[in-house]
Amino acid sequence: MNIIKMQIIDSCFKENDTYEIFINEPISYKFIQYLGEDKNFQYFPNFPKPFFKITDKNFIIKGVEGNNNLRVIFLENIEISSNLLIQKIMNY
Amino acid sequence: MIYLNNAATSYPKPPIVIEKLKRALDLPRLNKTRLFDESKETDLIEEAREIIGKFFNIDNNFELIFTSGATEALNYIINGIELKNGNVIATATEHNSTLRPLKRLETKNNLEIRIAECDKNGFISFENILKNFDKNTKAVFINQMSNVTGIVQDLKELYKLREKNNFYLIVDGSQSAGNIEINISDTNIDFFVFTGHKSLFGLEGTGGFIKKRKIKLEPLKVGGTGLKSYLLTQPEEFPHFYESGTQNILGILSMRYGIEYIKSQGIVNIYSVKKKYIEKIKKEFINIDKIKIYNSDSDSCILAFNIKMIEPDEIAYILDNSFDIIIRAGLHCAPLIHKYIGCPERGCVRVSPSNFNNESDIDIFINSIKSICNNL
Repeated sequence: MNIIKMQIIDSCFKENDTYEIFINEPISYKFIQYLGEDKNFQYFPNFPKPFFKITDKNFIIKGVEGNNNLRVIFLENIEISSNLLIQKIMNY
Repeated sequence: MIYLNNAATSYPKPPIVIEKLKRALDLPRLNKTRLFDESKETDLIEEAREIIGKFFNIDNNFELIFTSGATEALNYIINGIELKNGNVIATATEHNSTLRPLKRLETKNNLEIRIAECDKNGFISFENILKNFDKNTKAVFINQMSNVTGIVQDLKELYKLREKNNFYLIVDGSQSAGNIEINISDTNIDFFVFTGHKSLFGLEGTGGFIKKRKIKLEPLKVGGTGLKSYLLTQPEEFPHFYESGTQNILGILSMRYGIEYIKSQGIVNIYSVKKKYIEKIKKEFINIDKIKIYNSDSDSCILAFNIKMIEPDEIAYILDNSFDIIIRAGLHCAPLIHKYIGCPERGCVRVSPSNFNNESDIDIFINSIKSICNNL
């Protein structure tokens, strides 16, 4: 999996640590499970396009199956957290 | 896609607006304001000015100036009148396009900003304005219709206050214009601000303000006017004194065509349809424990709500990405109102339908929220 673009999301609030990560393939259930392994993983299949949320101490990832983008809120040191996540995505 | 964010910008634009704009875009200009197939007497901008002015029922005591939107109009007014060494009253429902330019003058102009509180629906009582008012009050700014709750303020007592006292009365009609009848000549308003791209069905980047003719404003910008080019100072003639540079002709025309559409449908009819949709949503939501409505008592074309235990921006994200429904969540550029209406720190979800939505759109929206409530 490759990352095409990572862009900061404008917010009403003080934090500036929410990003949209665009990837080169549609998100599959397998990819969601991979991202969610060893983390708090919630998957909602009953929506027209299933929504998922993955939480750990470094970030919160939200997304929708079939889309090409993930919304990520970095919670800890943004440089370390983002590198961890980028590596995880690119190792898929 | 179901679009329910018309308080931000209206979509779709009426087909007749698009059709007429396409024609205007296709035809060459013979001079800056006349299209190829118009008569030599046509001045598109002045025609639009007259039509829009009539829509707001202005008489010869008022004049209308075009701007790039309500934000520019408010900056124009706030920076163009003398606001110093005293206080101004703004309300808790104001948009940042009023609050921020005022804030900027606070220190520079020794200006105290007093905020008139609102109730849990966003309604500003006259008493709350009056208790902030004194002989040093230079201006009162009031948002005629809240962009968060849709509540329409009662301005009658303010007009009477204006009659007896010398201060500027500035009314922000960004939400009200195109939703309710506005008769400027029947009021004591000094300035009325409007935007083109919301309920007037025009393009983004359009709007203007109406002012009492006798009020002289410092222009926000000066420059080329196509008139008296030999002068190195801004020509005094209206509207050139206030409108420099090449006009956004298509934008101005879009407001005119939008208003013509509104007149063809009836402003009351359009507003009723929107309110009917909100009532339908309210009726369903009121029975769901997990949903908190913030403007349940107001007769409005906007609904502000939250789902307990879910952040408003998450609700917006799920609606957009899972359900293909567009609404808005957050503070809505109106940071002060939320504490009064009982919103948490992260604001609320706002749904604002248009007369172009249908019952099926509303049903799908209601069911999507129920689905979110049941699943999360």
